[in-house]
Amino acid sequence: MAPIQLHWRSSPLASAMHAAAAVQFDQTLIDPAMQAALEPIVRELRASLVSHRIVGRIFFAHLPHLAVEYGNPVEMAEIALRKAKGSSALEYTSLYAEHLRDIVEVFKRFHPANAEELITRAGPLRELWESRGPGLLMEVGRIAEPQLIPDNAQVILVQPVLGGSGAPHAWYNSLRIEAMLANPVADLPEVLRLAWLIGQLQLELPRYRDDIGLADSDRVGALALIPLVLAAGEYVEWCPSDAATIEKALAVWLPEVDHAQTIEPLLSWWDVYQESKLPFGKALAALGKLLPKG
Amino acid sequence: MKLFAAAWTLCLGLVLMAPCALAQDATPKAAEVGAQRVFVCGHSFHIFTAKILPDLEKGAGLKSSLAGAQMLGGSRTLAHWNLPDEKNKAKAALRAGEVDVLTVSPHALLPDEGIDNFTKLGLEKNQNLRVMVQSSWPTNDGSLNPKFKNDDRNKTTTAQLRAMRAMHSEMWLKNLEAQVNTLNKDVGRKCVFIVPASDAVFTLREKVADGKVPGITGQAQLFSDPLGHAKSPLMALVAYCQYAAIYRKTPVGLPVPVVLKDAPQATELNKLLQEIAWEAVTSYPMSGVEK
Repeated sequence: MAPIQLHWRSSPLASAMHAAAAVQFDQTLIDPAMQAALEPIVRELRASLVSHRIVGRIFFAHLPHLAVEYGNPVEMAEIALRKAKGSSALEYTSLYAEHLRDIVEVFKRFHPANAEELITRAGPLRELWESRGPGLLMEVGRIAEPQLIPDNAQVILVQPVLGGSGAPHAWYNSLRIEAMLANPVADLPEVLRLAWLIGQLQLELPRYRDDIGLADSDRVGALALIPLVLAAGEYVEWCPSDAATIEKALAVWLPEVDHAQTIEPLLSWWDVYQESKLPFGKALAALGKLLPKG
Repeated sequence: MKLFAAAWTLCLGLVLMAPCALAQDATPKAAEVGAQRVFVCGHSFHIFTAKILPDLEKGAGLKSSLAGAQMLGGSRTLAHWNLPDEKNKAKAALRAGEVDVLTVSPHALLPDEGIDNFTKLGLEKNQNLRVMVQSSWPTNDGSLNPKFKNDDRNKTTTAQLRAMRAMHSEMWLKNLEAQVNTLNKDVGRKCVFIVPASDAVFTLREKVADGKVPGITGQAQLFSDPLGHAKSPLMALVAYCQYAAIYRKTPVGLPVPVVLKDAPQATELNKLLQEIAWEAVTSYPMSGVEK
């Protein structure tokens, strides 16, 4: 198993889309002023999506990656519309491109030097990753199975607007992560979040989805990878992997998850999984049975 | 592979069901199942039912007629199938049409071609044969730890037991269900069923962990070794599952069987085991039994 190759990318456009997606998904930005400025624009965009019967969740999920890939709102809007509804939505491309320009404009008001800032911000995370990150992923592959680790991935660094956040874009083999200069939680370094996001990129493979079903695989996979990544993190001496740390990571990495209902089945599943070493896809399906319905 | 199909016959040899119904489903309604000639063919997590079932049948006022038993330690059903004819009591009984119900117990490796083979052989001589495939519990609790000890079971929490049950279901039971469904389709009738002994065992262990089982204070008391061989309460539980699936009757109310006679609080324990077995069998559609 060769070490993973990461391609580090960033762009103000991607940061703007990340911020807009956070507002769209009702998350609270650390800068209330930017939140207040973005909300009406996102609201307007959301209203357009509703009126055109376009799935907003899918539309927004594609934008950060499309931003670094294409770099202009017209192409971004066109592809996101295709993904969220299909070619019948393309007649609205110019309207949605305009919505995206509005978002970028607001974002740039608050972060005019985002491109330069991200260069600076990339340093600590990247250096830390290169020291032990590939080894950590090798350990994830050893504990679970090597197929879980992609050969390469794109890491899209975005402006921190939530104080530490990220999301996988499995369909593009990329992920976005806020480029934090310091760890928001001292004993849970952001580099572990990066490993956790990378670990989710292969979950779209049939071997992981066949037994659990498409609808639940993202949620269950993200949960399952928390103890797995922390165990590998302990191996490279980045963190402990005890129950308390797993609980903490759950709260920090997946704040939207019902913590009280989730933590006990997750910990029990992890205990049993470590002993049994089932194929990871089967183990995911088992975890799906134990968790409250998403 | 064939399932070891046990042909069932009604009392006095009367078949009261309409022929068209039989063509679809060899299973009688609960009230229509009388004494059955049962052949027990399995491994060490299963073979003890051959001794206990006659006792249960006697307690239920059924005429006991064990058709035979055949045991191979750690075996797949295929290992039984592959026994030479001169040693193969199961094949002989099926060929003689002396079996109403065949109970088998596959091991970890699935599909188990022996189930298919025995079923098809048995159906040649008895179109009303039923085959009961026991879903056994995982050896060593599914642990790969070579230092796993029986006493480790006492530390297993109810949440961990639920996780083990889910893993067992995903890793093994689903495959068994797929094989049985395919086989039933292949033979054109629903004559192969699964006895969810593993579910009952997990439930009993959860109750032990919660301190709700009379006379049993630790899960390790249910097993005689790390592998998971059963002690008396577990043997009785599995036998009750088999009884419920074979006769489609609740075991609740049957007297304390010999296997439990020395157990502390035997009467209370017996009732609980009966209830767990009946609930496991009736809540599992592939047992073919409804409440």
